[in-house]
Amino acid sequence: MFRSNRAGWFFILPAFVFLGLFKIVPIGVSVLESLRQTTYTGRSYFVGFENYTYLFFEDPTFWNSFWITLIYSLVVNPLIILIALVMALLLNENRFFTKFFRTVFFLPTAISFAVVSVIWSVVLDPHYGLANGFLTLFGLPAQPFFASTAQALWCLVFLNVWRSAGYWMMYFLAGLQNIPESLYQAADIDGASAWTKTRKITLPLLSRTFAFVLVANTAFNFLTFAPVYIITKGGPRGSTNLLMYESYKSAFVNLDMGRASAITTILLGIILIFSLFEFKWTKAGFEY
Amino acid sequence: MRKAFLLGLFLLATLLSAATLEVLWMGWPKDQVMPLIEEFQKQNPGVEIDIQLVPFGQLFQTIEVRLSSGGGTPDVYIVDGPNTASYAARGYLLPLDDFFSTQEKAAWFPSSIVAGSYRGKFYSVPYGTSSAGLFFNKEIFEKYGVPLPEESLDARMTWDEVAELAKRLTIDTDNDGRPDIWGIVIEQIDRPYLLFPLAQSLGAQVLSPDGLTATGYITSEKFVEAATFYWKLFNEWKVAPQGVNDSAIAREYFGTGKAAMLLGNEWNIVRLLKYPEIRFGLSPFPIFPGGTAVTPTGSWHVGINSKTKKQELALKFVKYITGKEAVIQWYLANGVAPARPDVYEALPEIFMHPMWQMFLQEMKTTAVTRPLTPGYSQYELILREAFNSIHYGAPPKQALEDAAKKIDRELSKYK
Repeated sequence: MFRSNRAGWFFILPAFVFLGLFKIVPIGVSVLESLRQTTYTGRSYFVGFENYTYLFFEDPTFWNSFWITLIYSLVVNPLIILIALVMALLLNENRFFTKFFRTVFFLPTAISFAVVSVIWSVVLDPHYGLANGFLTLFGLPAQPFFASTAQALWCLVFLNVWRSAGYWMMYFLAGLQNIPESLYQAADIDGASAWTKTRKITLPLLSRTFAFVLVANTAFNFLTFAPVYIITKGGPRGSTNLLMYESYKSAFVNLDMGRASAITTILLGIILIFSLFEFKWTKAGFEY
Repeated sequence: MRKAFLLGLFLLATLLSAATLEVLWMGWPKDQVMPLIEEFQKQNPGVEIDIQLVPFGQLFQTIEVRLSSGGGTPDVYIVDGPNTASYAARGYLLPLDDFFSTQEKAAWFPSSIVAGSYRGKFYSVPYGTSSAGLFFNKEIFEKYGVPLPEESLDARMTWDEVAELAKRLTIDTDNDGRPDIWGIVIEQIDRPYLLFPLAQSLGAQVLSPDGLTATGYITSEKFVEAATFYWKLFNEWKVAPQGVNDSAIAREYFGTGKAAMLLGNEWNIVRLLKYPEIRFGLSPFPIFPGGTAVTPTGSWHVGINSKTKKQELALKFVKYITGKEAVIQWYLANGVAPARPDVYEALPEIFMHPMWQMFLQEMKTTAVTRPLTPGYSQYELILREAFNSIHYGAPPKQALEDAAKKIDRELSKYK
């Protein structure tokens, strides 16, 4: 018993080494960095929680970015998951058309977010964009899209949904294929309707996949950076200034590593809280 | 045999890397830059120039990231004049006094040499300089019966006059409630470079004399007054389009007759040739009533990475690219004002043009360089974001106060 246990540790050792080296250590470094400040010559000194108190009580942009990040995440995550789930449910049959659409819906994921950003910034350009061309063609008023404080964040949400929904759909499809056919056959014998089968069999048995997708997707979206950097630069009027971009600017333009690390540490904390909450909420009540 | 092959490969690799110079350059159109690079490679057989063209919007951040990593590359990089102090203070630039004699330095305008120096040492070689003015589309003025501005330094318009013209020339031709012709576009809509002169014309200082404090300067009554005028252009009078964040798009507005006036740089004399169908004139950079005339200036310089392993080759390239012949070719392709008087003398048929004479006169008499501070890139970015917010409708005073607070925090590390 004892020996097999030790073997187990050896088996996971490589994973632990890499996890430690490439995840835990950098996180630790970043947290320590958030307690320090650096002069322009590169000399760094300990300042305690000064970076945090500055962010919380004095910084003119932090709270705006904080709320925008929160709103963005609270909208984009449920939306992506809902759309991915619906697409997966609709495409969970092996017919020619479903295979075709699975591929089509998955395609945007194969494009890097940077390229997606460039493509959509051209399409949604308020002055020369394709989207406004279509709108005016149908007699609708042209829209400012990324040039409007009211629309920019929602354009960002749209971009992300467009790119990510197909990706998470694949996880849901994998989860759906794992549900034993026999359960549906039993339900058929009992005369259950399609809706009842979905509600009573499919969704409950999908809960583990759901938990994974929810947590992974949430963490992923809190770190949205590329479209902000490429399209909006946080504007107009800070309406898309997500925390990750604010942290980047702080680190690489303002050379304020302390503030940048404090922001990423706060971001890490938020993601941790969300993940724990989501794990608790989606905990599968049974096994099959 | 295999050993010899590997050794040969290794030697070849070292040889190749020794003769490759990595250059980080502003993202100008390839067809303007590459002929100069090819010419250098032709003059220096076996030398490979790996030039990386980075778009303006990402350029300064790319330079920061590349240089802060502390490697020897890029060997040569383009430097915006006011960033010289920032890079020099952190040891990113090779001091060049030993490699440029006083006689050699005399080839550039003295003000450009000053802009390329920090604490008495010469760090970045001047490549261009600049000036700006108010271009106007003569056809639009004539079509709507508005008298043409006089193209003379003696007839410098006030901003109030410009605003009146802009109001008259903001025209909704198809009655859809959105202007089809705008009164004015600003080429670099939120860049302090082009907007400082508004505040300076009112007598505002844009940064403390030691270059380390913004509060009390960009928050001064005069600075806020200038920013409020700027705010009104977009938000009260609505004579300028919001969100034209790219200078090429601003030029497109003007060049295609969608804007009556363009507040822009000297390079438009060349770059507007792309739009042969418009006739345009040039009025001097406006002032506020009772204010002093101020124009922006300064431009690109070229610097050498202090950690480069190919110093000799880097110097050769820098002397070539900033030399008379290359700059002449460069001007003809791109239009940025040369920083060398000998180029102006070499092309009299171009620089005797009245528009050029106006810009040259402005450079001599009204040009004010951007503030000298080791934290220029931080100062510029934060102030630019403030201007961008103001043009989208943020209250000027609040936006500038927030910006000053952020700038002061970032500049305090240079104290």
